[in-house]
Formats: sequence, structure tokens, C-alpha cells
Amino acid sequence: MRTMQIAGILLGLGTSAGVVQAQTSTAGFAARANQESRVEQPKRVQGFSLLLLLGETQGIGQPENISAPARKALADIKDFLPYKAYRVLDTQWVAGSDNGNSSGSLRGLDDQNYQFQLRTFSPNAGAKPGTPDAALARAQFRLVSSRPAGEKVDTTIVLDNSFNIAAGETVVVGTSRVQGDRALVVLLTAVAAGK
Amino acid sequence: MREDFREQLRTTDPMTHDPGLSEMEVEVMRRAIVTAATHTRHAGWPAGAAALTIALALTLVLGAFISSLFDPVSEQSAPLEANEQHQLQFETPGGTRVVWVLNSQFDLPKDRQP
Repeated sequence: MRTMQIAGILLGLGTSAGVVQAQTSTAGFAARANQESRVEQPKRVQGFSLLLLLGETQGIGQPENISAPARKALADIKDFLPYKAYRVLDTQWVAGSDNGNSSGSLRGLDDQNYQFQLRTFSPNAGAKPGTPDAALARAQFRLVSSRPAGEKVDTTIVLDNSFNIAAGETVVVGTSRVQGDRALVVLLTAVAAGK
Repeated sequence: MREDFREQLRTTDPMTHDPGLSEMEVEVMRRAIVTAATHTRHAGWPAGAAALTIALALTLVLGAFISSLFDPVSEQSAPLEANEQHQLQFETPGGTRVVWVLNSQFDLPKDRQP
């Protein structure tokens, strides 16, 4: 049943995408001449917004007081992930750039501490700022949990992923067991300068 | 006994003395078959319908694939080995990129919130 639902969603979206494409192809034809005359400036990254969430299969509820991109991302994944409720565990803002390193910490359930490292990459690290080759294209996100165990501290790599990302985009990075009823989700938004 | 039986079949066969179809009847039947075959060849699906069918089939396959990743593991399938991880990356129709790790070792502390 879920297969049919997902297939229906994909089909509906493909159809609507086709309609939108047809509309824009005619309506946007006149505007294209103006666009071609000026080169579009790629957006530059100002920083990164991180939202640590707990996803649960039980209950219903979306977190309040979250940013519009985060809300849209949660709405988008609603039909693809089995989690019905999301609870905000922590939020973090880190300054960053199209090509660089950022790090910080997040607090999870039961005051569990997570350290994150974020590396961002542009297609050409030596490219002139403001050009497409200097724009954010890929990121590597690493999340490590640490908890005291006697005199030592146990560390576990929770997430270590590379993915494509652009300025202004929100990427959902999460982990769970196969049959798990809870998931740890990070919404990573690359905030563009001037927003 | 066997010869008698064979002879009996020959004599009682109703088609033995059947004159068969006339040349005119054979020609009519041949034309009917050729006409039917020609119509069938021209009545194929238009390219748009075929493309839609293929798109529908691909959509069903993609939906089944994504759905199966979150379905409970069946009894026949092998359990995930210790410390085994599967990473999945996909993009929702809304354009949100999703990176998901299925981790057999994943564990969260107990929720002490009310």
C-alpha cells in the first residue's frame, strides 16, 4: 500500500513538474533574452544553520518556531520517512563559507553531547569569489557523540556523509535502525549571504 | 484387430468425402486474414502512450524501492550484520536532498522528558 502511495506521489509530482515546465517554457521565453544578457551571480554562503531533531514514529506533531527552509524540508520528507513527529533537540548557527571548515557542538537526548565538523567545497578552491566555480557545491558532515564512561569518554561516529549542497539549500541528514521507531535527524541549511 | 480398427476409422471419417473449400472461399478467407493483420499493425500505441506507460512502470519501481528500505525485515532475509551500515541518498519531489544512514548499531539514550 505504501508502495502505491509513494508511486502516486512520484507520478503526481512528475506530472505537475511537466505542467510547470510547459508553462515556464512559454511564459519565460520573453524573459530569457534579458537573462542571457546578464550573467547570474551565484549566491555566496554566509553560514550554516543546524537543527538537531528527534524523529519518532509515535505521535503527531511538527516543531514550532523553526525556520521556513527547515519547515519546508520536514514537509518534503513527510511522505518518504516513517516518522510522524519531530522534536527539536538543539539548534546551532555557525559562520562558514563556500570553501572551508566549521565545527561546533549540539546537545541531544538526555544531555548527550554531539560534536560536528562541517567541511565545504567549491568546484575550484582557487576560483575568484563570486564566480560559479567558487560557489558551494559539496559538503562533508561528521557528527560524533561522546559520553563519559568512567574516567574515559566513549566516542561514536553517528554520521559521516558527503553530499551535494548549494547556497540556500537545506539537506536532511539522518540515521536510524532499520526497524527503529526513533531517528536522529540533522537539517543543515546553507544560508546565503544577503538573506 | 488393429487393422479392423484402422479400417473402421477410415470408413467412418466424416471428412473423407468432404470436398473442402472452393477457390473463391479460400481467397475470401485469405483476404480477411491479410486485412485483419494490416489493421492490427497500424493500430499500435502512439509514442506518447508508450512513454507514459514506461514512466508509470519506472515510478512504481522507484516507489517500491524506497518503500522497501523502510519496511520491516522479512523472516527470510538475512539480518544486518553487526556494525553494518547502509547509506541512502535521494531527493524528494520538493527538491529536498535526503541523506539517510541505516545503522544496526544506532542507539539513542532514553527519553527522560515527560
